[in-house]
Amino acid sequence: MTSKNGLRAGAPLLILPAVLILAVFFVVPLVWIVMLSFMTSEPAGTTEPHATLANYTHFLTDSYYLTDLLWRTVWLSAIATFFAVVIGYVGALVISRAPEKRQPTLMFLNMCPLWVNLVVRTLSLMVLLDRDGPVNHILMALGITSHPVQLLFNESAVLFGMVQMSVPFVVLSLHGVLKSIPRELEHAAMSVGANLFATFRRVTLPLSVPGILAGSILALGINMESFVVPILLGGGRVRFMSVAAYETATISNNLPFAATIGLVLLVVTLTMLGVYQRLVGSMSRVSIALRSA
Amino acid sequence: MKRARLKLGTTIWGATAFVFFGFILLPLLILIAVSFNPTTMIFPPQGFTLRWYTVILDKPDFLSAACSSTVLAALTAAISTTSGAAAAIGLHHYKGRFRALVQNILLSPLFFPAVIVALAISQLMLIMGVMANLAILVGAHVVVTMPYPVRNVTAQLSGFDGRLEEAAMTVGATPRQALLRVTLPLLRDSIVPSLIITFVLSWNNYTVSLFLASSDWTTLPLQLRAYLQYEYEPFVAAMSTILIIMSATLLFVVDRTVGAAGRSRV
Repeated sequence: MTSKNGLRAGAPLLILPAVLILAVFFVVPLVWIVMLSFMTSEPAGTTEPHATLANYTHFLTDSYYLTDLLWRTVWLSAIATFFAVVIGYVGALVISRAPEKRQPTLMFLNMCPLWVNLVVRTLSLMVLLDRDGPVNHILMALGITSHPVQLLFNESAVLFGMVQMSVPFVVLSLHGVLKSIPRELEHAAMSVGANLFATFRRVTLPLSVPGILAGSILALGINMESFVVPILLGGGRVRFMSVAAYETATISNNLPFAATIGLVLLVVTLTMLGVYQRLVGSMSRVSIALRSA
Repeated sequence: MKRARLKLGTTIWGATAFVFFGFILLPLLILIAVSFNPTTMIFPPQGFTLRWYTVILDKPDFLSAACSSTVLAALTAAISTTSGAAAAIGLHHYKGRFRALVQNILLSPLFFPAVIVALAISQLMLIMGVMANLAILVGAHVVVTMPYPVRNVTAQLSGFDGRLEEAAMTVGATPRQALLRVTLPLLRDSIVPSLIITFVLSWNNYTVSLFLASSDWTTLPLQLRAYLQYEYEPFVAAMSTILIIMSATLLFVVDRTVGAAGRSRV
């Protein structure tokens, strides 16, 4: 079959443009910032081409970078991911239990925010949390507070923003999984006397672990690299890794150290995702083993 | 008894759905409402005006940023989808040693924080003495969007009947003709959404553009954020409303043309 070979022989030619673009605009730049992170910066802004670990030791020994910056990024992202998964789970459950005909519309509504510019979405939260905004009005109407509270420009605002941004992604990863759980299993559990809560805990929840895993990995990845949300909702007061990398490069003009911050963020993110995947993977295996025993 | 429980279940379901969709959509609706407020960025609005929408016409920097964003997004969508789809088709036929490696590289920008990709490109430009220009901005946008066409087209190809191409070639089509006349038309359902998704991702991108845009080629998200720093008036809400409506329209187009399969591929 010469014709079959024709397509096969042409295959590398089809792959080539994509690989070339990624080589020039992705692989080479990444190799360069890895190299850059081992150089030092001179006061004049020039870089010294000597291999040194100075940037990494600086980052890892200075409590400002380690606790104030890295730990805050990790901690806030983890909490935001937890809330996003809980809220997203409820949303996905609601959608997957809707009449079959209505589900596409509900998923469309869930997708809407994802197609809107991040700056716009963050701005909408600024209006919501404003001193004269709807949330403050509700708080005062309920008598929780007598005067408007400053809800913006602090860690809670950033946290709220990250949760709000990542929830639709969680719904996206969970919807398919929840839909594929046969309703007969839940009905069977209820018919042998399990109540709604027990059915959820013993049947629905364990079967949706793959979706929870996928959703939280997606949400954590998105939260760890948050950039617009901490800038706008944190008002410059909440330090975040990606923001620090940007500011170190542009304002302090310390390029090697900016590269170091970026790479620490990358390594920590990938490590967290890897550990999480293992942890949940082995936990669900244990629970499945226990159940079947 | 059973009917009463069913009714209760429906009520709880409805209330939960209401709260959930309120949580993810209400802020955007509030922002849209604020854009008609004659006074300040406060909800509920104290009146109704379309003034902020006409103000846009008096802001040439916003209009030129809108043009820049559209050109950038169109170029990104075209290049990203063409090269990504071609690579996916190539990988489908390529059985060589580097298959897994190439596939991983093509998808890897998904797992890298955009800040790092943008930082890396800007640092490399600096050392090479290259000034910020459109080509570099497009290249960077292509990198962060390309995993989507690669993934979408690969997904559709996995359920693709390879015998159709063979049949075409058996009756005398060259490999090129088989590709253009048989494979590509059949891949419409993954290529069209890929074009729209890459367009929207590029159009909305903030982080990558922030590092790489030059002063004479600034994008709409950058312009909006820059404006927010010194002006906080319903004009930005009006601007945002236009962006929201445009995104929703594109999403709706995808929804109608290729259905749920395309929509869920973001």
